[in-house]
Amino acid sequence: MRLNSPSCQITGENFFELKKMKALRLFKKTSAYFSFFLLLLFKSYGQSDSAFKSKLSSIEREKNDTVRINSLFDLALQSKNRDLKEAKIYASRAYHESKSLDQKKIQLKFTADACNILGMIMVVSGLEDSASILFDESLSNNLLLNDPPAIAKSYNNLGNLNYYKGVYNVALSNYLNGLRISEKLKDLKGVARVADNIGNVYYKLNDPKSAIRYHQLSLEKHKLLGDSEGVASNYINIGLGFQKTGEYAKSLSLQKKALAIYTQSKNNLFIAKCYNNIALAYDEMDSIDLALEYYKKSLKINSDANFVSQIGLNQYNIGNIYLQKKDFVNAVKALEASKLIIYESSNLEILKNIYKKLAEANLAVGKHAIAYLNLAKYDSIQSIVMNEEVTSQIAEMQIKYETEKKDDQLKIQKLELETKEKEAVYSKILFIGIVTIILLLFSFFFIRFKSKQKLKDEIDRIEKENVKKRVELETKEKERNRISTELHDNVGSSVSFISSKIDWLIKNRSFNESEKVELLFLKDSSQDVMNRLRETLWTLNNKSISNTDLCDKLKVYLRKYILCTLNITDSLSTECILPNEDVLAIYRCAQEIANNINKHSEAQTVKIEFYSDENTKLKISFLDDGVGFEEENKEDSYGLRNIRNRLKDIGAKLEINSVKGRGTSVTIIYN
Amino acid sequence: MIKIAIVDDKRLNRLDRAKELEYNGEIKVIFTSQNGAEFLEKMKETPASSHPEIVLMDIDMPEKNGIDTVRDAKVVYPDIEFLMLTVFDDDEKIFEAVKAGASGYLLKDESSDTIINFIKQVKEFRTVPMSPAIARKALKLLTRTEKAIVADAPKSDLTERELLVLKGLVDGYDHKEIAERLFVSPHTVRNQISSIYKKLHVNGKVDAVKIAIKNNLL
Repeated sequence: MRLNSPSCQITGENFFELKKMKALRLFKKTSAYFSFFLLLLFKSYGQSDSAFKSKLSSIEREKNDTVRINSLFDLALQSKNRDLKEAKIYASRAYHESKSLDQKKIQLKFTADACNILGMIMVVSGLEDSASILFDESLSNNLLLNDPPAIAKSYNNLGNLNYYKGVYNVALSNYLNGLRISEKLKDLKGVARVADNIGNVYYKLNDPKSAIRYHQLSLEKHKLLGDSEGVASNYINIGLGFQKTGEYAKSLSLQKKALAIYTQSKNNLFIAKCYNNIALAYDEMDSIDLALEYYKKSLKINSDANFVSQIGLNQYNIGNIYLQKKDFVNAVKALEASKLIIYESSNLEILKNIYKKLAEANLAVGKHAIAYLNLAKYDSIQSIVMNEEVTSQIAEMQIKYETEKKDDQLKIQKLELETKEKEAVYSKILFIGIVTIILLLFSFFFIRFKSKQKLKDEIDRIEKENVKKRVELETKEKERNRISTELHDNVGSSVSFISSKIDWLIKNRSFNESEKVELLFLKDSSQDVMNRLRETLWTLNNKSISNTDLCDKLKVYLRKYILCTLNITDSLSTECILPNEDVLAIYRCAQEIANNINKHSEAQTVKIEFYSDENTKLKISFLDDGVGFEEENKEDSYGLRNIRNRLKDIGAKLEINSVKGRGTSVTIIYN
Repeated sequence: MIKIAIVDDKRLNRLDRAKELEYNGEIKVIFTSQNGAEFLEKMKETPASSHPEIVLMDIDMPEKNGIDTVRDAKVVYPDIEFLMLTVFDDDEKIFEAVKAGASGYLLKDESSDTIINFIKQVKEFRTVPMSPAIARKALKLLTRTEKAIVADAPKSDLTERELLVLKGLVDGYDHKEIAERLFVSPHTVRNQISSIYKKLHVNGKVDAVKIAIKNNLL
């Protein structure tokens, strides 16, 4: 690390380091220099005490408020560089008196000025938070007064403050506000100053290109103003920018230009700075000997003029060069010299590096103990600096956080008021509501509980019944299946075997007539058993039998059984499932009717119609062209009454129409 | 001589039936089996020249029932006709058998004459009469296909004539009566009935394939 000397125009540049002193104090406690330092401070305060009192009393005699405040300003500014405490007293007095001025505008104006001055003093005293409040007040006053130059100044002050604090982003926005106003006002001086400051911020933000651009803007204005020292300062800063972008030749020529101007104006401090910066450029260009020569030139001027802090920097840089040249003895010498000075100026960053380099140099010349001590010191400072960095980051965050907090607090306060009013109403409503709801819920649950109990009992009862029914049904079903399987597998095939065996015997063996009749009778009987069995099984087996199934079965039976010509019509237009018992009943009735036709009707043809529609599940009509009968005679006959009763049981009807000699119509109607 | 085989799980039915049928010398029983699996085994062992022309197949049997046996056998031996023998006319099962490829059914208690008569009819016309219940089911199935509800089924629409024949069968008429009513020869009606059986079989095949896919047999 090398040291440069930017010519910031920000006032109190050196005081910035005061802040770091807080940290350094920790370090200095262990040091013998500490007591000496305190003594010096104490002495300076003591000296100014009497003079201060006489000045204050002379001012108090002044009756005109504004004149008195103005002289307080003057005093504060005068004493600022000499005695901070005194300056603070003047400035705070001016601030309070300004605040109590009657006329609003004048009050605002003076307060703003007082804020600026007091704020500046606060910055120098390291009380940045107070300074921040003061500068804010100044800015808001100036905004109220609509005084652009003053607003620009306030922005600049805020920018400076934030620059000191190391909050470069905020500083940048402050400066840019200031720059905008100054440009509008065509205030060349203001623009030059702010642009220079912006350049410095960019330099700190490690954006050398932007830094150069703003310094060049400042340079332009300074040239217009004919401010040669300003121009020279811009040259230095632009040069430093190029130093960072690695354009060392450009930097060198600019530093030399600045040197020429300062030589003319005989500004020794800046001549020395220029020499230092030229040396820096040479150093980077690896012209170590030239660099050393210029560092020494700078050192000479600084030593002559006794610019102590600059001497420290020169020695440090010279030490660095010697280290590069591996001339460790001279390096140690230069670094030790720089150490003493830098130690006083409290520049921790540099001090840290000095210790490190000293350790390096001493190690090279074999002084291990000293090297170790230096390294230890380097280490302890390192930790302080680290802490410092973290603290500054925290501070930055805190600023952001607090602005947000302020806004939020305002909103919260407003809301709180509103909610408090509403809360009173709400709590009343809420109370009534809750009581009502509780009552409602209670009664609801009570009723529900009661009805549930009832329902439960009912459900239990039904469930038990259902289970009982189901078990009954299942048992029935099982029994049914068992019987059906038994009939089907064993009885059925045995009977059919008997039947076909008898048939075979009749056909293939010779028997006498009476034997044959007996056998035929046996065959018919077995056939009949088989048919009955088949029909019973049909209704026993099938879970669902439809009206069409029933009719199809009847067709086969009737065709086989009725002896005369049949004319069957199928007019079934709907299909529906019938209960098995009903199916069997209808089937048996149809059989009986067919039997009657065979036995009694003497018909030639029989018309049979099967019919169904939406209203009629099944209608079977038999129309024969036989002899017919007189109803009153036949109605009571056993066969017909039997049929009628059987149909009645299943809710079906039997219609009979007969004309003697013209035939008979019998109809089964099942709905 | 018509060569037949009898598949029945009841020994009496097998042996006595065989004796009765062979009595007149018109029928030759090549072999009998007690279930479908045994039947298929015996078919493999028998040379093609002595395969039965017609098989009397019981429906309810252990191991492999008659319907499944017909379905499988019809694929390997499409020329053999199957007549289902059953104690009870369970329409549902008979219809399944018909779809599987059976040419018709007989009740077991029919006389030997009737059975021989049926066997002769099958040999001559490849079909036997259809009961009204089976005809109604056929009508439903085949006209449903006609309405294209079974979209992927092979085209098996009934012709107008076949439809009339089927309706006649539903009404309970036999092929002669239907022939009279439609003013055609009984032979024509028989051919149409045979065609209806085939269409049912085609539909049965679709079902068979569906069942096969469902059971991961294909």
